[in-house]
Amino acid sequence: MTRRDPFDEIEDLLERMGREFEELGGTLEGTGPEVPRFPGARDVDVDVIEDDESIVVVADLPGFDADDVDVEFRDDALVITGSREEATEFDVAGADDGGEAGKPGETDAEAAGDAADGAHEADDEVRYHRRERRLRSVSRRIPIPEPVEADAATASFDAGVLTVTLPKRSPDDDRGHTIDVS
Amino acid sequence: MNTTNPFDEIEQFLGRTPFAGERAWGRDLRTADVDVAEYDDEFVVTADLPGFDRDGIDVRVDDDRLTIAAERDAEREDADRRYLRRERRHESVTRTIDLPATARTEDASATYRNGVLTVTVPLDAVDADEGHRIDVN
Repeated sequence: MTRRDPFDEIEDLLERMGREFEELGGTLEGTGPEVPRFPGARDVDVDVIEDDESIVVVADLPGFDADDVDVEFRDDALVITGSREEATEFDVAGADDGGEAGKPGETDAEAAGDAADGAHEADDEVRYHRRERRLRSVSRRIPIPEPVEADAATASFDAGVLTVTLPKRSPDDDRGHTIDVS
Repeated sequence: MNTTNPFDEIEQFLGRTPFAGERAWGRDLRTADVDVAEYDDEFVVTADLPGFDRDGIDVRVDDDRLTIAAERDAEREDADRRYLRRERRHESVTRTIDLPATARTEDASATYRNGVLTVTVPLDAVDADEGHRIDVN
């Protein structure tokens, strides 16, 4: 009945793009609690929570085993890596991948990556209706804005969520070395 | 049947730009990322649901639709607990997926491990003899 003007749709899209790009700028500056979700700008979603004693980093790493997750504190940043040597059972390179993909964005690069790994049941016919999950290795570097005791850090991994607790360095330590006066 | 949505094509194009990576634009926070794979004899739905309790996850089938719902208590921020970054999904999520008509939903099974829910639904074999035969009078 009412026909939508295709130009409206394009304008909508452009406006959305503009917003996304603005948000990307925000992400690059990397501050503020409300870091916008810019899809694709990062591999691992994290929360960073500060309280009086510590800084806690919480990272979503669904589908990884604890053994596959690596955490390192380096240059005032926490580096989280999740490595997948491959193939959860369904990470198969089906012949249909390209054509059937439910998500428009998920294209060649990922399909090719999967193809290289897909040894599983090559003869079994599989049709993907949707492929939204990330099945690659991932990593993320999170700058920590305050001095912390990296040696005293603790980490746990539960239900695909990594939690790293970094105790803050006490203010005394901040003053640097004391030099004895003789 | 398939009318092409010009949006899809534009987004597909944008999806190839370095900015968008492989993710779609405008990701919905209240949903879960899923893979849906159909094999000859089974239908497998895999959903990323990091950080839920098994008890908080509800999987049900209604009229050939599979609904996955996962609930949790929202985490709060207070005076001595400040979020410096907040990117993870904190909401409860739901996701509905259409099942094929051949799905044997009564034999479906589900597992939750490392934050990933896997629902497997066996499919009835489509019998070639039975299918589309029309009697001739």
